[in-house]
Amino acid sequence: MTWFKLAFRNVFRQKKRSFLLASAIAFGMLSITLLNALTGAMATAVKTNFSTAIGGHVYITGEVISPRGYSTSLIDQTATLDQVIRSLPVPIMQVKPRSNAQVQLVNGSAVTRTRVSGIKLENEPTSFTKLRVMQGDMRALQQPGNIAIPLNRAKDLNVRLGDKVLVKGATNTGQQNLLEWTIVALFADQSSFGRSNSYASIVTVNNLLNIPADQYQQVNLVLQDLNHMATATAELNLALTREASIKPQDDDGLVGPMRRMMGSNRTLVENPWQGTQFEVTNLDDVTENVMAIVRGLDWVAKLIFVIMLVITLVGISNSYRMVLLERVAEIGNMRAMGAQANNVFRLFIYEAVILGMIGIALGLILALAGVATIESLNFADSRGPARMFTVAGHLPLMISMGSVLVSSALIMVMAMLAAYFPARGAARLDPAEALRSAT
Amino acid sequence: MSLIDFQHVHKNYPLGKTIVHALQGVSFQVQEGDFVTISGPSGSGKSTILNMVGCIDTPSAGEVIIQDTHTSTLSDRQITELRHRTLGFIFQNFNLIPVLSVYENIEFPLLLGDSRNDPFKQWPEQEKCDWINYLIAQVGLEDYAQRRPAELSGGQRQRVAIARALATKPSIVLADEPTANLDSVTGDQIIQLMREMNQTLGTTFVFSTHDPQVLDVADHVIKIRDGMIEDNYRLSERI
Repeated sequence: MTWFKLAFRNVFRQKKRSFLLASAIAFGMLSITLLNALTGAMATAVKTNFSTAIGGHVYITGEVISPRGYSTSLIDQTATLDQVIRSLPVPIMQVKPRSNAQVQLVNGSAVTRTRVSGIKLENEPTSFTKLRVMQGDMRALQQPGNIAIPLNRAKDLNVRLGDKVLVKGATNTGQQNLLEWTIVALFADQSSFGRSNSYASIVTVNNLLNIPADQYQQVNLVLQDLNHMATATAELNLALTREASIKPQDDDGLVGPMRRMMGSNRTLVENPWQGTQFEVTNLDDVTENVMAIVRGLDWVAKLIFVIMLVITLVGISNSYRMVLLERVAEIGNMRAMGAQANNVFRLFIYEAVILGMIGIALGLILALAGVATIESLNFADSRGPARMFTVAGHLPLMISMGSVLVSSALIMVMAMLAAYFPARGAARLDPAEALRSAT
Repeated sequence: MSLIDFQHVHKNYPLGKTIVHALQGVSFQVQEGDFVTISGPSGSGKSTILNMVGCIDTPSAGEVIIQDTHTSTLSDRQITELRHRTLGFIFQNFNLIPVLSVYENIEFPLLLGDSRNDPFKQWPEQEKCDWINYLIAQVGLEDYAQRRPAELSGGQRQRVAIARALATKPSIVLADEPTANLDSVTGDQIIQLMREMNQTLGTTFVFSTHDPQVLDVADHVIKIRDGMIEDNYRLSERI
């Protein structure tokens, strides 16, 4: 028989009351675990979706000055960049040179706009593994003049596999260009935004942009570990500052890849430079605004958790005051028999710890069940920005061991704090008074 | 040398705006191994005397000396240790811990106190177990060792309380009206049991009662009225 065992039996003395207190703790644990999992899932989904849409984790873009004094999106110091990338101290899984063009696809009177990513298939063999190719073969993109488009675009244009479409776009220096390309693959539009890119080989896109076949507009790096993103960005900035030049910070609020997506890739330059002016950004820069919303939600969740903790703390504290009144004679008896004040104090604290442990375990079980249920829901058919928070139609919920440990520790401290004052009151009871009140 | 020495003890309680003089200069001595009864009507000060002997209350004036120790000089911690090692308690409401079995209730006093200098923590487990089983056998509850207090009759509960009071092998057992909540037959059995324990183990028993018939079994009778000693004699002296 130990004090802990006695505390354990005391917890089950008033089963209904203990169940209600444990339920209040369990509800707190359930809420914070689910909210943490949800905000974590949103952050993961946002990063995954942006990473898929842009095609990497670290983005190097370049600008050169055209003969007419405009900045245009192009990396012409490719050898320098290759050397800098090779000397990076972090493991890189893929190096993806890309050229992108905003184009109109035309078939008779049908017109649709799309962004064509020009890729080097041999550099990114896994890029299309997650793409649901409905018709055709993505490998055919290696041939110049071929294009793969989303199935919904094909329906808009009323074209089928093997048909030719007119491609209307602008060259890198702003002249209009018109080419004819063949549709070699149709794939399902799986993007969270409902606007998947179209794909062609980098040579095909460069031909449209009228830039040399061995040059490109940007390089996306896929890192082995996302935690290396900041290091890779810093190292690239340092190396490119040393070996070439880096674009100074401007105040348009748009980072490189985003600026090109918004079409603002040609501006008149007041202070010209030589060669390529590089800009290095990463996934964190691109997702900064969305992540700020996710972080805001996370803080709201934490605030709700703290409020719930305080309410539960008051509830537990009041319950223990009642327990103290009920057990005055018992405490007096223990003190008379020789229990030191700290024995009585510890008994109450142990009871709170046991109650906290039961509540945490119950809350965690419910949270696991909740996560499994939410994960099984499919949002693939839903539209709108909410889809940004799903990956392949599902919320990628994951319970983090770290946050569970922190929440559990907080709840345990709260439970002990709630029992602290009643426990101190019990320990300070005068045995004579306590025994007198019992008779 | 006396086991208990009460010297001119006064106890005053505030009750609203008035002061109640519960004890007014009470003095007596108790010898080791005595079976002592403190008798008197309700409100005469019996429980107050037992609380003073039990060191769970302090006198307003005077001195209470237990085993040559002046209790007024002790800190709360030392007084608690003195209670733990020297005294056992039996209450009229039994005051058993409801979530513990008979065995565990008797074992409970052995768990109390500081681990650093607590003699009961040094007991070998088997010796402790044998001692508890011996006490259970002495109070006749062998078949009830694993029962909880709610499953016992009033008399059985008081037997458990007696065994519990003896668990730490105290020099003195104090019983505050131990038969008050029992019928007369069971009450007589409890007094008889306490007397047997007193004779078998040599433990000094001090108990309060307002039942005049109980006086015949005591070695030493202290009669009290209105907080003062009315009579104080050893039975052998009267005979």
